[in-house]
Amino acid sequence: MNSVLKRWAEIRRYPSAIAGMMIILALVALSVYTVFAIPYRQAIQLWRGGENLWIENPRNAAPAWFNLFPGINLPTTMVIESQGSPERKAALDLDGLKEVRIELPVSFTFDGFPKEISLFLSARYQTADPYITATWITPDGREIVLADQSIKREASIRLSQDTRLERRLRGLSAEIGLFADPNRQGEPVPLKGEYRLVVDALLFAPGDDLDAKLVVYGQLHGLAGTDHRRRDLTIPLLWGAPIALAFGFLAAIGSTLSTMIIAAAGVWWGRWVDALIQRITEVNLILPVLPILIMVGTMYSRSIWVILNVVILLGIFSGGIKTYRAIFLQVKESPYIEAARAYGASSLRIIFRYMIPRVAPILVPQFVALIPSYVFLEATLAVLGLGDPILPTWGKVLDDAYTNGAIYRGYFYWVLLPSALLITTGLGFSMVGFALDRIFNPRLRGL
Amino acid sequence: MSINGFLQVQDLSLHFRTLQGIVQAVDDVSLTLGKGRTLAILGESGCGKSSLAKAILRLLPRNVQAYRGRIVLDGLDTMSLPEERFRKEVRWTKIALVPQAAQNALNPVVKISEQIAEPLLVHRRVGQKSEALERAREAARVVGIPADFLERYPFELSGGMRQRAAIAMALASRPDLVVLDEPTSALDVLTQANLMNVFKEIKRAFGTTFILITHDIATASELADDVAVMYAGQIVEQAPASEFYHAPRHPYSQKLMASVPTLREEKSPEFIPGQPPSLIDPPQGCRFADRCPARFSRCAAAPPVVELSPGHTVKCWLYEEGYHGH
Amino acid sequence: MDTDALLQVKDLYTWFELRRWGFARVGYVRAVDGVSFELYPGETVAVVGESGSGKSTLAKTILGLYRPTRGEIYFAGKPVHQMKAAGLKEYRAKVGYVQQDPFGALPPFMNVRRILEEPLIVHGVRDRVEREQRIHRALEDVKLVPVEDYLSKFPHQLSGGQQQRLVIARAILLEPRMIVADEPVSMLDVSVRVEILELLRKIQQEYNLGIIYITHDLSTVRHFSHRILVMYGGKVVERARARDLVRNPQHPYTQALLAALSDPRAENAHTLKPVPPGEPPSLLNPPPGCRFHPRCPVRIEGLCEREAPPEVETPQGAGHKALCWLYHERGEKKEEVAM
Repeated sequence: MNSVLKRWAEIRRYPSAIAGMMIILALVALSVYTVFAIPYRQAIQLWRGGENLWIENPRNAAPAWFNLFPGINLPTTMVIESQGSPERKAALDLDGLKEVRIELPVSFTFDGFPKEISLFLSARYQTADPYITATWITPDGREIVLADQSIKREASIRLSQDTRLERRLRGLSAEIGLFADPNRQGEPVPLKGEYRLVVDALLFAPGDDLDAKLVVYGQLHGLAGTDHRRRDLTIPLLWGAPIALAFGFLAAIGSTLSTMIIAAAGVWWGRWVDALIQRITEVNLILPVLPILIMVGTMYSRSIWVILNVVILLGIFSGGIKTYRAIFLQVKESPYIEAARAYGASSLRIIFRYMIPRVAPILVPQFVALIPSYVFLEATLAVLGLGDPILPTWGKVLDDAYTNGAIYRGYFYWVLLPSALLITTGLGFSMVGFALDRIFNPRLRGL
Repeated sequence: MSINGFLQVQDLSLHFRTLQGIVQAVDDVSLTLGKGRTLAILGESGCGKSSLAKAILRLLPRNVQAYRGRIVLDGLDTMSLPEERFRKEVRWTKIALVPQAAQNALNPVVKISEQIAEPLLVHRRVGQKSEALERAREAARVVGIPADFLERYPFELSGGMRQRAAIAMALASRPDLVVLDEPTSALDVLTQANLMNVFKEIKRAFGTTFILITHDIATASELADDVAVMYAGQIVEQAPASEFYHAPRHPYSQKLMASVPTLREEKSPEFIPGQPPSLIDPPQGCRFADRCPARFSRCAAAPPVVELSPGHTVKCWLYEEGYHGH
Repeated sequence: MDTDALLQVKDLYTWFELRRWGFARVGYVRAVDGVSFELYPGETVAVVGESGSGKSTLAKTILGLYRPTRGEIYFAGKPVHQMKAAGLKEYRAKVGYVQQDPFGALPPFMNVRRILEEPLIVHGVRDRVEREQRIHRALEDVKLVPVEDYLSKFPHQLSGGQQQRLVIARAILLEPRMIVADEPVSMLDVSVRVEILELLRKIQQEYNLGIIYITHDLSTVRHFSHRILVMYGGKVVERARARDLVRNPQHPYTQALLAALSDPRAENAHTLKPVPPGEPPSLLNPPPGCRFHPRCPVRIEGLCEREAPPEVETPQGAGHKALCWLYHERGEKKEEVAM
């Protein structure tokens, strides 16, 4: 206990260690929050659920906080619907027929155009399909008919894909044409002000009803933006943290512990045991790790747990075993080990109770510094297309960004956010690791 | 205290800063040493005797809190010299050090002859490498390293031979003062006796002045002309060896002497109960008072330094003028 | 066989095979080369020698840390050299071990209680209360009192003398009948040495222990042992009662060793010590004949460098023996011839 307190007092003398520990603490807090706020099942469902779940999200939108930068005022996603707002809906009964008028106000004050615009209608009716007319009224009073048709129970009117409308808007697609200032020549400029979408519906039974929802997809969306499948990137960026920490920690602890035990056993029993371990290590050292992982990934399973086990297995007989061996060779010669033999302690007791506890503190810094390398390995594998097919991870986000040409299409946020998280994680652990190394291995302190 | 000493140390203090507090390793130490004489600094581990050597050589670690006092070597006030001049003009050239466990401090991949010549070249005492090697050979001959050992590497030599090489390194630049820090403590009895013979011969032939730092009172008697006993960072007694070994005066010196097992006398050795005080927060008065059999009321105050005879001083209330209780 | 002896060592050899590249045998390091002696309960036998004399290897062979190459060790009549794991474990409970470097001998990551619990756990003392009682008794025996102040301390928080007492507490914890002390005080301060040796002597008297005291320091041996064996080059060159050996050393090596030792006297500074030339023999290629002959001032040409001397009774009698031709009739004759 005493020594732990002393170590802590020493750690506090390194500002970098404090910074690193704060990063790690923040990551752990983030992970805990994520796991509780977005339970695993929900996260997987959201990540794997397909476009219908994300229908109200734009594709490839940058994070909403881009607007905080001076000079940027881009539209965020707006959803205006009649459901739950009775004042937007007026109904008129006409001898068994029913007329419904829905007015959806759109207050547009941005310097850029939206990404897309869609109208979703849902009708409840008994026999005949309702007939609707949708009209767009601009702040300067122009009226543009957007749709004039009968609809089924659920109708999605993708205005941005309506080519006839595009022609009527002088060749501009809906999200631009509807918001453009008609008095300006050349490059279209948005006209700010209050727009209205008016849906007039004719229903053929008194009990029938209709609701409308207008989605103006923004160029910016949410905390982290969206990807090519309209998914909110908050999900993988948040969930990436617990997965990365778990993978890094488990891989590091698994390989460090087993390496340490094997190195200690080899040193203790010596002779052929040691020789065998050394030879296996030497063979393993020339085996390329990445190709093996790629082979396992392509031919067997890409599950993160399978990969984790392979990583640990390959990590056991790594170069670390040589380092540990050198340390254990010294420890083995300690008089206290000889004393333990003299009072009859068994070999296993000596290895686990006398050798490993002696060395463990020396290896703590190495262990801490090892975690980010495994976090990076997971990301590397994901970028190579060997990421876990189910889990939302930082590596998967990078992989998607890469395969969808994020950089040359200008979606920098898509690459920068997961990269920043990876780098921050690496930095946090490294800073703590280096500081611990100076504390636990005082020989370096003078340097 | 005589003013004509070859080495004069006055009120030298060296304090270190540690996590636990300030360690007063050397606290107001004054010494005088005549040319060609050997001063043995005796004391238990942790009494500050190695720190005293470091303070004289100004080999200071980074965590020094205080380093003050006056050191005059052959008329040169070395404490006032800037570091660069001290390094060039004093360290190795005027004062050389044979560090503790020097036999393990040799560079394993450098031949013995080049090892001995190295400080000469570094300090530009000689211009030519050949001249430095010649001086190295001469120094090796003095300490009794056979000529054919000079072209060997340290691991090919025994501990005693390596220790001789370390001594030759210190002697090659013909320093006025050589500080020997526990020069024989890790060596076997015969090797130890052999080395003491070497030192005696060097002393006789070249008139070298030595400071011998050791915990081994018996071995120190082989070389010492004067003795200083250190306890808890302070010198409690300084005396000519002839007086000291015959009758030590400070209670600590007496106890220390009694703890040495003797081979040729019947008396049984005794031990000193208790432990030396911590140097972080030493007692206000006499630092030995806690363990002292002759302790009395005045010991609560710091004792004065009393001169008993020329060159024999004791830091103890028992010998103060007017007190005859003992 | 001597039935009263606690320990009997008969013609013991411990050689280490020296290999190059792991397989080509280069030779043997003859660390212990034919040693015999007995130890009786309540007795201290000192084994004195310089580094490389084989004294530490002898200690470790007796402790069962090395297997003897040849020879016999009997402990209370039982053959240690033939013991299997179970017997060896039982034997180890009966033998305490005190090492040279007290700080190194204590696991730095365990506190005093854990350190002392370990041997008890290893030897199957399951009852917590009993363990605690035995730990208390051992700490009281070595005067680390009040015990409660020490139990939760770590080795680095103790002084050198306290560390060595803790090592002794561990050595007597299993109620041994014999203690092997390998340079127990050489790393301690002069003022503490005597205290530790007196503590060992007190414990010896209380429990009637046999002590093997391995050291290079003849001056402490004189006060703290009954009999002395002087080792040189893996062999016992002289053995006698402590006082006899110090007063009248017979072997030329012992004489040199004693002459080299100083008592604290100012007169020492005026004379050179007589020291035999050369260095201790290589244990890999020991010199033929007497191992001391290359350094011996009184060697008999034609005999000492050819034939290994037998152990002979010296004129001192009373079991004072030396491994030297000088005291053999053949040596005496040669000397006459030489004169």
